Amino acid sequence: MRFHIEHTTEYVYPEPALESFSELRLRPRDSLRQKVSRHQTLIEPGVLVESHIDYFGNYVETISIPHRHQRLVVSSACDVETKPFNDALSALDLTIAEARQMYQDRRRELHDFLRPSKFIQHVDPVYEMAAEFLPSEAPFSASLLALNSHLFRTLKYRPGATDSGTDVEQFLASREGVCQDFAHLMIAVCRVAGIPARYVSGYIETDPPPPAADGSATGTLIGAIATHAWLEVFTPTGFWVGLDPTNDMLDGERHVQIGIGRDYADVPPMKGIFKGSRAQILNVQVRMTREE
Amino acid sequence: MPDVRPDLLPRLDETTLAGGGAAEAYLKIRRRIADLDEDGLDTLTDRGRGIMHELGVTFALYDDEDAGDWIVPFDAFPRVIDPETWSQLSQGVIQRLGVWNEFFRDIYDSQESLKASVIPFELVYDDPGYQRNAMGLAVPEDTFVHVAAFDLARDARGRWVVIEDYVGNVTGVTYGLQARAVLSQTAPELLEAASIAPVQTYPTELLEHLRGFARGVQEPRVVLLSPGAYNSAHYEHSWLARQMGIPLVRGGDLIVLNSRCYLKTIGGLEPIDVIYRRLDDAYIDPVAFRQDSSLGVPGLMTCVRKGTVTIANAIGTGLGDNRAIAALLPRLSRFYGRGSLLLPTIERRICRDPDQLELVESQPESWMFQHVNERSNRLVWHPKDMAPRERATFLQELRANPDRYVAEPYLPLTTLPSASAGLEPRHAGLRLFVFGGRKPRVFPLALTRFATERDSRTISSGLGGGIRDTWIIRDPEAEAPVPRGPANRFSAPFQRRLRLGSRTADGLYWMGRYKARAEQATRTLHVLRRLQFEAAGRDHPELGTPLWSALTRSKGSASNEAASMKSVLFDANNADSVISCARWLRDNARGTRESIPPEVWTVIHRLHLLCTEAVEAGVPEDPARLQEFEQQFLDTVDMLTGTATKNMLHDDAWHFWSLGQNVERALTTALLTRRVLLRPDGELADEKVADRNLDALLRILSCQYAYRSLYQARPTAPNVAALVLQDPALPRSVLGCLEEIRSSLAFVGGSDRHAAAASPARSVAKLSGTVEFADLPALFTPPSTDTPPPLAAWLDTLAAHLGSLSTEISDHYLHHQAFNILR
Repeated sequence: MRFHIEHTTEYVYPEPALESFSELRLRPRDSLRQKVSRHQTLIEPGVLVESHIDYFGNYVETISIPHRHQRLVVSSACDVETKPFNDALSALDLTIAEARQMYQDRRRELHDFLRPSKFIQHVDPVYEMAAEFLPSEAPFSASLLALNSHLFRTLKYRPGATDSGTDVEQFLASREGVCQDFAHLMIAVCRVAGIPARYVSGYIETDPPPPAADGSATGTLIGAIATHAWLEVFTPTGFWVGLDPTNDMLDGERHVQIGIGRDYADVPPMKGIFKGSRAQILNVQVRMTREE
Repeated sequence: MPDVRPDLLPRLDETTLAGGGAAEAYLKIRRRIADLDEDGLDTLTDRGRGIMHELGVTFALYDDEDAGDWIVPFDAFPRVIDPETWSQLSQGVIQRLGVWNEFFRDIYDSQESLKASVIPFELVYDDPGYQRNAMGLAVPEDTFVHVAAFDLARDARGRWVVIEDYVGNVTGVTYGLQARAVLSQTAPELLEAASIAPVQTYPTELLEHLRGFARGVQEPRVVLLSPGAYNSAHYEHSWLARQMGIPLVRGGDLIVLNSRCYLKTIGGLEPIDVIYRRLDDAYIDPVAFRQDSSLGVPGLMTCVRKGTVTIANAIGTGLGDNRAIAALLPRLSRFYGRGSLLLPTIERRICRDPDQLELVESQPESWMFQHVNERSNRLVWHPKDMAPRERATFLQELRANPDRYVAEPYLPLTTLPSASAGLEPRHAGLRLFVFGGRKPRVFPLALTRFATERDSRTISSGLGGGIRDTWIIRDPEAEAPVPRGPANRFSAPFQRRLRLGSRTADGLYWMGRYKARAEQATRTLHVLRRLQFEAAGRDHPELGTPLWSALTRSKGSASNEAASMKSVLFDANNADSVISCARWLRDNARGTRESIPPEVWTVIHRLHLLCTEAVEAGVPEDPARLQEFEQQFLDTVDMLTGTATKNMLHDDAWHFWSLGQNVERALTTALLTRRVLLRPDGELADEKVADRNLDALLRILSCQYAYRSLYQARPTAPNVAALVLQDPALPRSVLGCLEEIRSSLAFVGGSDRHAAAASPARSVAKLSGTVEFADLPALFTPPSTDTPPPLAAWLDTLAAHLGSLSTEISDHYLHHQAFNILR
């Protein structure tokens, strides 16, 4: 599927900000399952955008605004084509213990995705969930899917219940949150069970709303969604497979990946610092349109 | 495995282990010191201490902010190293540095050593010093470690081993240099005992060494980046920077623009080529690393990526703090084809290895435990000194988290006689400093630290250890020529002298503003209080209102004068209160302490103490004592003015201090005039109200006498306005302040480089003209009966212009908002 994605964030500063410096992670990565044919980031006030690739292979842009400003608009536009791919899970007929055995050869490369990370602590409730859903003798694929569904059913999706700084331990206290929290928790359970898991930030195409009463199409959703988050687990056969506990599904052609990391801390869309009082996000809009 | 109890280890003394020239020198030193009687020895010790104090060789002890700086103890008995030992040690540390450099090159590139399991990958990946952001970054000349240090000790057989590697952040070189300086002042006759290598050129050579790593620049600019005045090693940073002749900067002094790093000075942005940093990786760029820290330079990593700046030591070398990796250095050395190590690591056990854990657990009292990568000297555990229960708790923690610990045997740490303790032996350690790069070399300078107590092994300065001089005996035949530029060449006429740093200028500017603000508020209160005592004030409580509103900088009247007075003086939450201003004044002064004379700092400190002590003593609740407080405060402010005038050089720094005061005064005068002469709606104030307040205004601006000598009549609004706005001879008049600002700006900004920028100098000249030639009579005359006189609008505009003048000064000299000042 081919998508055109526009992602705009507008920040306002109650007091003028200066010496602002930020890292942006907005450009979708190229991978086996998706190809980016065009990408452009526009900044207002206009400044030079520089770019590099980070440790996890994500595309990073940096911007510096030294002079006084009261408003900052970051807009990213891209064309991405996602490709269908085989379901790498269902063909796997092995237990979790067997899978763990097969990871041994790649322990070094997978190490980062098995260890606790900034937002993902291996706390007791996580161990309990791992014992319940991912015991050693259980089948690898079915158990992961069951865990994915379980989280979808038992966690409450409630925007505003958490923020981008909420970690697994805090989220477990309320079990209410957003896709980022769902992904963090599932990653934690997988890691504790010895299954390498990583965080994915990206976009998802949401269903258009039903046609209006007069029958006219209402088109795509605007501003109803921002970035999405899910996770990938590493299969013993050498693939990263995406699981989306917020939607109880495997990732598919309607998922567009921006970047990957150990957790959210490695792939925030914008990370910056400036002199002045706090910034407020005035407006975030993601418009994702499918192109036939 | 050590099977002896550490306290039963034989004590080895360096003077008996020494051979050749060193033995000879030790003998001479011993004799000279033995010849001294008790008085002579005491004098030696006291003079050493005195000079250490004078030189300011101090160390801020951890966790003890109030203790102030601790003077490092000094002992006159030096350590002596003969040429053969020196050459052997030098080769050993150079080789070691080479292995470390190779290791960093490998880790931040293809990680062959991890792929080949030469060392466990977990050691690297789980270490907070492993910087994923530094992966793949090219560094000039493949050099990660520009400067390194190694702590050495002797094992039970008298063999030298390395007990600590410093390949990230290197400290202590200053102490090594100071030890020589102190010894040559306290006991110059001792230095005749041998021919020893001089050390005083170290800072210059370090600078030349670092400049060699700048990329593609003719005359590279180097700065020393420090974490600031609160760091325990701040003394070393400021001393070294001064000796190297480079600016001592903090993160906020540098700014990144288009992948280039600049130092902010009042003369503009100066490009920086090499950053000699004393700031850990985690803090160096708050966007790439820890966002909760404000110590670093946002965006610095983009410069590193583009190769426009060299960081010494390179980003990622903090991984070298890992003691387990250091223990495995012999394996790395062989893997990188550098043979077996000439200087081995102490027999260090890595507790994450189950076999080694079992070994140390079986006899914990024989081992000293340290954190695997935390360098705090508090994170050391001695099971031999623990009570049984404490030991059990520790062993439990060790078993639960073995990967946090390494264990080491107790070494003899050879002893040296102490001149200040009747030549009794004291344990001592040795630190060597190495320059890394294509041609690594060791400078003939070392640091000897010693334990001040008998049988103690605590040699760390942070824990009260002392220092003594280290002599490296010259070997004229073996002395290799030092690689440096030809001496007979003219240096390119070296760099323009750097102007005052913007942060310092900013600090001084705000010190001036807060000082003037606190002074003006106190003076206003003081006058208001006297008004209260006078009959008119009591009968007409509304009289003070305009002054009150000026004081609180808000519109509307103060409902409760007593409460307002308290708030203006002592409310710490009120940003304009006297106590807040005194605090900001002190905080700004602390941040720029290296640029203000100690006498000035003392008065500023006293001013703040006066406020906090008054609060503690309950003065705010006791109106009777307020007046006394105000008088004391004003006296101290006068003292500050006098001390600053007398002790500060009248240079850039002085002019920023003065600018701040005059901007604040001009603003206050304009504001007070507006409130006293006019009603909020812009109409002239009632004559009855104005009369008393005009008098008060003259008193607040200390110009009753100036007024009387000019007019010899009771104050009238137009006369007072002419005086406080337009009299250039009156220090607090708006014109007087503007003239001062004009001359300060002429001093600091006389460069034509700024001609194109919106220049504060031009703005102030214009503003001066506007005030000087203002037609006051016309401003007092309403154009028609139902419109207010133009004075209100004129004064409001004046205040707005003064406000934007302040912004222009900040933007121009301090925040570098004007883009065209970028060269």
